[in-house]
Amino acid sequence: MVGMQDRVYSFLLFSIFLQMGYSQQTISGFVKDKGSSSPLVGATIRVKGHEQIGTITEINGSYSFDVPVETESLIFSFIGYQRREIPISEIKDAVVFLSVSATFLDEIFVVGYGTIARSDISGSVSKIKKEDIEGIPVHSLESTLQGQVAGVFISNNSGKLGQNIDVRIRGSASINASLEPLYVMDGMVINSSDQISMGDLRLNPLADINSNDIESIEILKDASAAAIYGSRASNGVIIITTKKGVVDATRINLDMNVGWSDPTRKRKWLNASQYLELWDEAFANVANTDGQLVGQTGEQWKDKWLPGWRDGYDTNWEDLMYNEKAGQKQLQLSMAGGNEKTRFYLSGGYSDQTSIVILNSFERLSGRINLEHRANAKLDFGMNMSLARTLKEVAPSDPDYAAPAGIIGQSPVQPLYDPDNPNELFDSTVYFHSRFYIDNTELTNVNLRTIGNAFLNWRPLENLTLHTDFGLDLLSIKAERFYNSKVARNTREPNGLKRTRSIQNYNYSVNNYANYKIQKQEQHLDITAGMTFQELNESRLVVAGRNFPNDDFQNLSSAGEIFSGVEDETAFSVLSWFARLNYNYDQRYLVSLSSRIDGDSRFGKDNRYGFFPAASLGWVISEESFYKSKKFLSYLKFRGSWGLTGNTPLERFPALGLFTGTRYAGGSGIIQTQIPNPNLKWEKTRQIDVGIDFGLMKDRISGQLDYYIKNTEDLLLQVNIPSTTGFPRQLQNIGAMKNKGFELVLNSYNLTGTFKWRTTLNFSKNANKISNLSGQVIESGVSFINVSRAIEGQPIGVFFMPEFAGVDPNNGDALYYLNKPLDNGQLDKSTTNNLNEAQRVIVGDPNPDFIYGFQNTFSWKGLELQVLFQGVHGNDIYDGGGRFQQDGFGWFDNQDIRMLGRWQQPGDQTEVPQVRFRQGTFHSSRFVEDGSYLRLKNISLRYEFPLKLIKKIGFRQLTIYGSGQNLWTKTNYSGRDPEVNTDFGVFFTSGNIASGLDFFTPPQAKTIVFGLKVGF
Amino acid sequence: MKKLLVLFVFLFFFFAACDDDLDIEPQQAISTDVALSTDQGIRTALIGTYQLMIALPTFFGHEVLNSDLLIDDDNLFWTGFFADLTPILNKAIPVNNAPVEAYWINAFRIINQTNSIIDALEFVKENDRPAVAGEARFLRGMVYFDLINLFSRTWADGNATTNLGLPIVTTPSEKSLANPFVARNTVAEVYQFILEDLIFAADNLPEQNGVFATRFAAKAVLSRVYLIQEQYDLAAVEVDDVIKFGAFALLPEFAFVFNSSENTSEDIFSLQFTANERLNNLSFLYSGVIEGGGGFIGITDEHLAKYEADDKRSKLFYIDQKNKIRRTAKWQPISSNDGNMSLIRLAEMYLTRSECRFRIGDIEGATSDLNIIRVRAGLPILLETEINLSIILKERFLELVFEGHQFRDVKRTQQPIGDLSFDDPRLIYPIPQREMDVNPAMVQNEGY
Repeated sequence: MVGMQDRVYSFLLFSIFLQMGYSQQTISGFVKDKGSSSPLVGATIRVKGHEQIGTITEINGSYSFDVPVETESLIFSFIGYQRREIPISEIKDAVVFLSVSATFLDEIFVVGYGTIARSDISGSVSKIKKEDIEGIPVHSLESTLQGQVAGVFISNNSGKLGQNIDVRIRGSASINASLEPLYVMDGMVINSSDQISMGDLRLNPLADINSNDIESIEILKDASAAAIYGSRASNGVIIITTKKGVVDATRINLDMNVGWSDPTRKRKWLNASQYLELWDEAFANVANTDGQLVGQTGEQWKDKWLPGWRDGYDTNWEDLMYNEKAGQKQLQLSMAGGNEKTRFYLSGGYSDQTSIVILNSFERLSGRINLEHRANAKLDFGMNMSLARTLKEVAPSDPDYAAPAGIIGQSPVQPLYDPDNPNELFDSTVYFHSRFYIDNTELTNVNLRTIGNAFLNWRPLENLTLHTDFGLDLLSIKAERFYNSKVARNTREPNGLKRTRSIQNYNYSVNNYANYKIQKQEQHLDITAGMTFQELNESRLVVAGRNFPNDDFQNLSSAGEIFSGVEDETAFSVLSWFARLNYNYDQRYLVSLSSRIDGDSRFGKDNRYGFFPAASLGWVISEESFYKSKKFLSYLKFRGSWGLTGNTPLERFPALGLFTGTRYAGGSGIIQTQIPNPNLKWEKTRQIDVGIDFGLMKDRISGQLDYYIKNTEDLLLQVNIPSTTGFPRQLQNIGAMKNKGFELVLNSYNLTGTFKWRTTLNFSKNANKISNLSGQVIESGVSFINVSRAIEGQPIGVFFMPEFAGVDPNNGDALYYLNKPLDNGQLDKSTTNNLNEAQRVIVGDPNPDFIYGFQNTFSWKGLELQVLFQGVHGNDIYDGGGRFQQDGFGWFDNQDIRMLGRWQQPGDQTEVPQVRFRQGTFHSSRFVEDGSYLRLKNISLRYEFPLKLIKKIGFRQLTIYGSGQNLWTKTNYSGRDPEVNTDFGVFFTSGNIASGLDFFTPPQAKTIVFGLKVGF
Repeated sequence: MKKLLVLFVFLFFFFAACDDDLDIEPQQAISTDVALSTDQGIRTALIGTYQLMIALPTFFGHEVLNSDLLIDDDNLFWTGFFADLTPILNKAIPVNNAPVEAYWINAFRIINQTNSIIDALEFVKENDRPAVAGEARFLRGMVYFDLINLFSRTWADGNATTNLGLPIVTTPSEKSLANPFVARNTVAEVYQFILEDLIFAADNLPEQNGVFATRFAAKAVLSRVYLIQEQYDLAAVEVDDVIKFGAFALLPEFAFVFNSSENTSEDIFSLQFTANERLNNLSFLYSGVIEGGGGFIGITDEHLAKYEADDKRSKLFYIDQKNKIRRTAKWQPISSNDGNMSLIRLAEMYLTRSECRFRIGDIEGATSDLNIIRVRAGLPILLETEINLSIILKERFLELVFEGHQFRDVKRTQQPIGDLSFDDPRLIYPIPQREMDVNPAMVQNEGY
């Protein structure tokens, strides 16, 4: 590396000297955009044959420089535009028009600390443009990527709004550290980690960002692209670029839409008569010869526990978990424009969504100002700033009795409203339920979010740009949970309870870097080097009070007793230096080298610096003179990369042994809360990627094929240790994981005439394997659904539990395979009805075998139809609620409709055991199902009125559109929706392991939206 | 060029200044070496140990209850569905039962905290060392004693010198990590260890210590150990010391004993629930829904039939307003906060002494102790000629029921539970599966 850099420097010096000693002439002119005729600022003009001689255009697009007399032609280039070579005779004082690049190869990608044209990329980067984002009715930007990017798996977990969304780039590479990519917005690392709210839910801070303000999203997937972000890049990097102003007349755009949502599917339960029939049967099956259990008859049991059962109610509790009217309203107003000196983009957005489930809604008010000013040809500066207020109504998490879907545990023979007092809910239901929370609680989170940065670019030399920026990401959260006296059954607080949590996050960062570009004949060199510092500080204040005078008082100042106050503050900081060199020879041979040194406060003093290098090579074989098949295979590039990236622990002080203050009997005490590990360091991922970029038939069809291997070592693992040491777990660097897979992207312009038809397809296959855990057994950690495991040699999160072997036709017992290892190495497949005798084995894998997206766009004149299918294949789902919903009346919970097929008499062949009151059942593979699905993710139809027509009424654009999300889903999963994972949040010691779990989880929403876009 | 230089100099100094910014210290926690290096630090760690006992959600509250569930025959019934506790009542505990696992982990966490204190005694003022050591060893001995009751065969069941007890751990976690795979010591070894701790505590703890452990608390637990070991004379001596101290007195009314947020004169040792730690799990599980609990445990008619007429203790039940189920009033949330969790009270001392005296042959003493309890319960006194061991044991049962004593009493007196003999393996907790998985030296209990 060092030798390489020396050579680069001498090369630079040499090229500067070369500029002297020619006889010269002066040439000048203008460069403008062919479409809008607006001047292009910063376009490059070079002398053909003497590429070291050149200049860039000024603010008004003008240029003037001396060229050697023998100059024959000049080369005009500008990022994102087609290069033009023009004979010098045609130039003199004339305007040169450049047109925007049409082919995919000229597309510009925003990468870390710079941009690069697709043709020059030798790593693996994907891009989503605003056209692919706009109009998708989602509350958070990650959802827009679903099905659109190869290698990126998105799961919306449930239909609840505002909650965390899983984003996995090229598989899962950690067990206890984060799996989420690093998010960078307009150059600054933003705070994207889930906010744990009130110890129950994971809320998504990216929902504070208005996706209508996004110009493009780049996804850095391989190590050579991502390693410039070093120790935090193992999970990939998502770069968000917001919209900027354009040099043009001021444009005003108004976009508004309204939509309606419904659950994708409801579940079916026993109705009242079926319920009573099965319950009576379940009781009879366990009652003694006198028809009694614990001295009481079935009638007595029902009278005691199911008051109202004699009165003929038939309540459909499933319907009661949903809002009668769910839907959304969105309004976006933006203004963009500018002149040669100053460009601006202003926007204001309002989004109001009501969830399909009760107790859940989302509202966002946001604004953005992006400004750029060019002081002179050498200096420009500007700012990007967004402000948002997000109001979420936060439903309790799935395991809570008051979770929306928890309501389905009630018996259909009981009413919703009290028959004696129809204004009150019936209070003697089997369980407390979520309907009580409506009107009796206030469960809100208000986020105030400001993300802004100011930047300055200075070009002291023609090819040298110095960049500095300072960014702030402020997130203030006020979470309030008020419960009045009517919900004391769930809160245990007879006179009301209020918890208020105030969180202040400030995240600031500084980036300083220099970029040097040089071109000498066929050689192009682009060097970036600099430093960055980031600190994220979080402080929390939690106050709780109870005993309110009456239910009208909700503020803590009226609480009779303030019983809890917690204040804490944590922080981490990262200090880094980075450098990257991109070199290409004649657009044929591409080399990219990058490295980053990260220092991180989270590790012990002696272990806090790490070095993360990467390299990639590319060869554009179709540019070679010997390449003959250009007619058919018009473009062909081979590329390969290697690099090292890291992943940091979620904890702020993971290396220290900690004692924390506490109280007892009015005195203060301390308790040990963590054992130290001073040797802790980053997880390290080595990733190899080989790929091909190709274009067929003059790039009518283009595509990419990638194969990668990600080897992660030194996993940050909450290692199970004997709890006789005082602690059950310690964070250690143990173990290794491997992800390998391939990705295919195809992009075809099938028809290009008046009727256009474009098809894009992406397919990704990832195989995850835990290659080494040093014999550890890592479980998800929550007792009542503790079925997920990390096991050596297996993918992460496999379901580990007794294997269900059907039902004994003789007596209706549930049978389980013994699965004890035999001497011959096989497993004993004989069965038992004693669950404790059945060895637990692997019975399912929540990781998909492959995912895919398939999009067709048809357009004819102003009409455009876009259809996106998205699919996930080969993953399993464990329905953790099965233990209560298909347990043959372990208690009085209503049962899944499939229980009608229960065993009833000897000889019955069925998969559903005999129903037996109070016997219950436990976790087994009986509740594991295939979770594959194919879904019509998005369909949209838009019509843009012809300009001629609307110009008369002063419009520049008028578009009407309708779109639908999740309108059709094909799956064999018998739950509500196969895109599911329960929101246990902090209940898990490792949420990474616990995936593919359904536990009283609401389904996804299907949404139809109609909208109107007006441009002035 | 000048500006460029200025900028570069600026940038250069910016990097140079930043390394210190990586030094971030936790704000609400302190590192181990700081925490336990002062006299004050160790004293607060001692207070923290008590907090651990009540803060770990499934520890003491559930243990007093869970042992009662496991040993119960016909006194209580489950009036809800609680998937992890019903197997304990049904005496069919899966090896990965969550409350059992939580109990094991939390108990050793408390033991570790006491070990950390004992390991750092050098930082305590010399004069105070014995008392601080005594308090830590009392807590350690008491937790070990509860552990061995539930996880091992009882003392008289088979051979205590070969039956497996628990690993004896005496080092703090930093040191324990060097050799984490500890094997189970024998029952006899663990009892010896518990006795050493408790005797040391009884010798070195002060007579009065606010709401914290006193030498009488240590003596009371010692008496429980001796009872199990059938060392009635030794148990009687310890109990005698407690009663004769004189600072403790039975309350005039049985109903006053429970759900107090202050220690009463009858309390020898109890866990304090202040407003900040409101959730006394026993109150939650035993109480009816409208009464502020979760409505989980009902009391059977069979239990109520065990009382003599006029027994005031039989009045300490109520029918809950919501489900109309009989609940015990021994554990009830009270308005300002849940009541304390009394772990040792004087009535037990009289009953223990009565039993010991009877077994040693002091019938007169036994009778007088028994009558003290009977009189308070509003029952007629019994004559020396009228009493026998089973009457004493029944009195003990009725006085202390639902307070976590039944498990030890049933085991040591070798009563059957339903169809199960006292030594049935199902009446012992399994070693948690997670512990079996991580510690190759760990041996599972019979029957699991």
